Amino acid sequence: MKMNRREFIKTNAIAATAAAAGVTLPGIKTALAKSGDMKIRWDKAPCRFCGTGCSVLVGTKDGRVVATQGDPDAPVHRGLNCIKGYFLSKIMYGKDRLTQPLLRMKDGKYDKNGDFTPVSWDTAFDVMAQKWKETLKKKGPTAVGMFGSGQWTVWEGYAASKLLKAGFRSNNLDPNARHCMASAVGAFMRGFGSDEPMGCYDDLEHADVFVLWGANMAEMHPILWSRLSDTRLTKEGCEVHVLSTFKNRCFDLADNGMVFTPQTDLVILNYIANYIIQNKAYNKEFIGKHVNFTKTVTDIGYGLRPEHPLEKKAKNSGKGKLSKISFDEYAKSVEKYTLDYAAQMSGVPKEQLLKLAKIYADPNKKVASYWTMGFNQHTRGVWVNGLLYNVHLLMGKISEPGNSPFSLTGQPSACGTAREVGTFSHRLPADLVVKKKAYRDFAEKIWKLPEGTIPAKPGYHAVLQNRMLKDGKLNAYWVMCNNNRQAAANINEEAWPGYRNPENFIVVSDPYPTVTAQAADLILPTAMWTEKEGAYGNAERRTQFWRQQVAPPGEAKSDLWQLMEFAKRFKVEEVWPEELIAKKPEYRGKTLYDILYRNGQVDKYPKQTVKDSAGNTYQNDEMDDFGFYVQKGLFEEYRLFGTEGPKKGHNLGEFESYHKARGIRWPVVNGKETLWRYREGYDPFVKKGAGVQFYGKKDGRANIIFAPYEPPAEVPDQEYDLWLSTGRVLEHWHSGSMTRRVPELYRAFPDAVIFMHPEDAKKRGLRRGLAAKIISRRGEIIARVETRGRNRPPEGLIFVPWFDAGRLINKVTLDATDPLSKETDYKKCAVKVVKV
Amino acid sequence: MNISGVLVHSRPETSEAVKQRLLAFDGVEVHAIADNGKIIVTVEEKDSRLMADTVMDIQNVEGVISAALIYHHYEEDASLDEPVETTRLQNEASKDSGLEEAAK
Repeated sequence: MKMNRREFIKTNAIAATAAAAGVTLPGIKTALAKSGDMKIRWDKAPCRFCGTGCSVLVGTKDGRVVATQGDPDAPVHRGLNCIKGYFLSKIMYGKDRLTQPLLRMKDGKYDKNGDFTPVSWDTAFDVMAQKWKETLKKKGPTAVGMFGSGQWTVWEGYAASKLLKAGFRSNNLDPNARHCMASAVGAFMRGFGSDEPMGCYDDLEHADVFVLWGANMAEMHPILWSRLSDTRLTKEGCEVHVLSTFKNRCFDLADNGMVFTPQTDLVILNYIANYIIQNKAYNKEFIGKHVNFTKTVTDIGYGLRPEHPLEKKAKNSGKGKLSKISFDEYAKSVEKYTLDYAAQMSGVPKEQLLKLAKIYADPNKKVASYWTMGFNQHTRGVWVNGLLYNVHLLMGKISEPGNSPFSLTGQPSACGTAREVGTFSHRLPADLVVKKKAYRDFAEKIWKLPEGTIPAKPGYHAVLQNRMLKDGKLNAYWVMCNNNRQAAANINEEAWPGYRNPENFIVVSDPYPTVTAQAADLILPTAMWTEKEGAYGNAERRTQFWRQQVAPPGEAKSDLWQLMEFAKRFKVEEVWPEELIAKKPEYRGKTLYDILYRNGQVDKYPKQTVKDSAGNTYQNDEMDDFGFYVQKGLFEEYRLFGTEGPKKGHNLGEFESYHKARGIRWPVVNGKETLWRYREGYDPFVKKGAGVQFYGKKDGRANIIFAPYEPPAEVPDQEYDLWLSTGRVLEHWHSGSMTRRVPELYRAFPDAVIFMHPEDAKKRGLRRGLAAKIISRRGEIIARVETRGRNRPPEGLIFVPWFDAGRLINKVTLDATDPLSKETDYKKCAVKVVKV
Repeated sequence: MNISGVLVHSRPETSEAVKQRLLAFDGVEVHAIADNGKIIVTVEEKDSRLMADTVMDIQNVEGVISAALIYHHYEEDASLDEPVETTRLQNEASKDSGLEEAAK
């Protein structure tokens, strides 16, 4: 067949697009040129951005990533690309990449008030180790800490957990995933005794009805949204219900779009449960066999500082105890949540609420519910997650294709690294917690450590870390792979004073000079994404690996290298007490590096050439530097927590299998992945004949947990008369440290704006495009008003995205958290907006 | 020259109107509309910057429920008029990396 190159390329573009759409076009002959002359090496890697976990094909030429494209064979997205994924290859090449360590210095010496000066890695680690040692000597392990990441690779999180919890014997390790997933985790553990969803993305095709609860999927998970849209447009009778505190792009597809008053999701969910019970629609057999009814302690406060009046007033501040109740008692508890009450509280018209309740109550409709930060960033986040499980459990609509309560994630490895590796201040790998002696014993056995190495008391969580920095109780602090001075709430009052507290030494590892890096005392330049071998775990329990594609710029090094090199600087005698060393005298004189990473397991796999099945070879800088296959050793040791650990159903596959597959969903048994957990026929851990078994709980039953409506921490009043909600936009990912360095994405949405109702603008003498000041009790910023954009808030509420380093909306927000999950509520505080 | 393939979802009853709005952009061609509201679009643009902007703008066109990028190709103009020898359809990238063994 003859055509010129232009026609040929266009034909390919049409053919590929039609194939992705499932459309056959007559006359379009699919054709591809012989591509041998391109000299591009192609390999797979999961996308660097959100929790969807699309697999992209990464094209490398002359040591540089030159192209990325959707992978048509990847089950997550089938070749579709979102706009951020399209520009993925550019994130590593921002002009201001950090290429050498920078230390604040004056007169040739470290000085907290000095200027950033380039230093060698040796000097950087010398100064840093000295600060760590001083702190450990003076105040002990509770004064050192680390803030980690749901963007760490699996082995980076695992290496960090070992260094902090075993090496420094400090549980002051928490990931930025605390800000996004902690409430989901809390509810999974309370309800099912095991973290992460029972369903998977396949539900996007199996469901008859979709309900979004505080998830703007159209912008935040565009690829999953494409799949959902496809089902809605092609499946007879398919419906989409959308709940949000303001209209967003999902409302364009919604059959039932509902804008509710902030916090009243608690009311709506209890109303649906009540409706199901009143109409006797519940699945009697299912709840008889698989469910326990409980209620949670109420009046639990808002996770603010203990001296805050709201905490003093709360009767059960921070308490989460569950007590068993009967079905009748549960029915009685939800009785007051009538349609009238729900409509009055939420502001949603009755017929719309009824329509929503009816689809959940219909035994013949398969319902998939999705949520993200609307539920999780909520002072009653664990409660509200649980209330949705209540609805699904009452109907038995769970753990089977299409019936799926599904918590979406925001970070590429919030699941894989933060949650599964357990880099939280209270956790260990595979759902184990530090509080329980048996679990610490198990971790110490795997890690070949003397009994009593891991401290029993949970460390400082994310929000507490900032407070403790300010109070001078946390003094040697390492921030890695996140941007917490932009991401944490109330940064004026909590984060900034802590970072600049003269008692503290702050280290920030990042590829770019973020606002967090700029507030540090030492900045370490970091290799990112495909500049190292990595592994991420997405929202549907899919673990995905990639090989190192290119070398990092200058002296930038991976987080893994930094953690392991730093461990070499500590002799065990400098960090552990004599009585602990005495239990393992062979460790005497060794470094933390020797004990943690040269333990016969992590260093088990010798240096080798990394090769794909086509024979292409890849570099592996860590393997070259340390002399063994570090990533493989760490992963294989970590895997023991799943295969031999006390908690069932966390099995991962062998290291090599992930390099071959486009991700595998755990639990992985005999090389086979699991699509739906807790259901016989899908999940190998369910006892034969049980049908359904929530085996995370001893009796195999999930908890329905009653929780009432309680008001938010701060409500608009006469002076601060507007709700403020923060969040993301399609073009930028999180704090924008990567996407704002891609010129096309920057141009598409350069600055944060105030999405506002036109009437609210008018009342304040404002109109579209004018600058205005957003003021709260804690701080203020200036941004331009947008009254026509993609987000259309009701009167009384504004939405401001947080990606913009030049307009830090978190100067304004309140650091009220869910007292159970310790996750901040970024969706509700009171502000005023005035003309500048 | 840049050439992209974009899959647009729209409600079937609005597809025709969405098509007209898309055609208002320079370099945009609509090749097919499926009954279920899926629109097969290509964008052709000399300048990489403009190309990117058009693709970004498509996301915000009224009636577009989602827009996913499927294909992008860039090369210098000189070679575009040369004839090519074509082979059967196969994903270029997959073929080169030997990834097909891993496809499920």
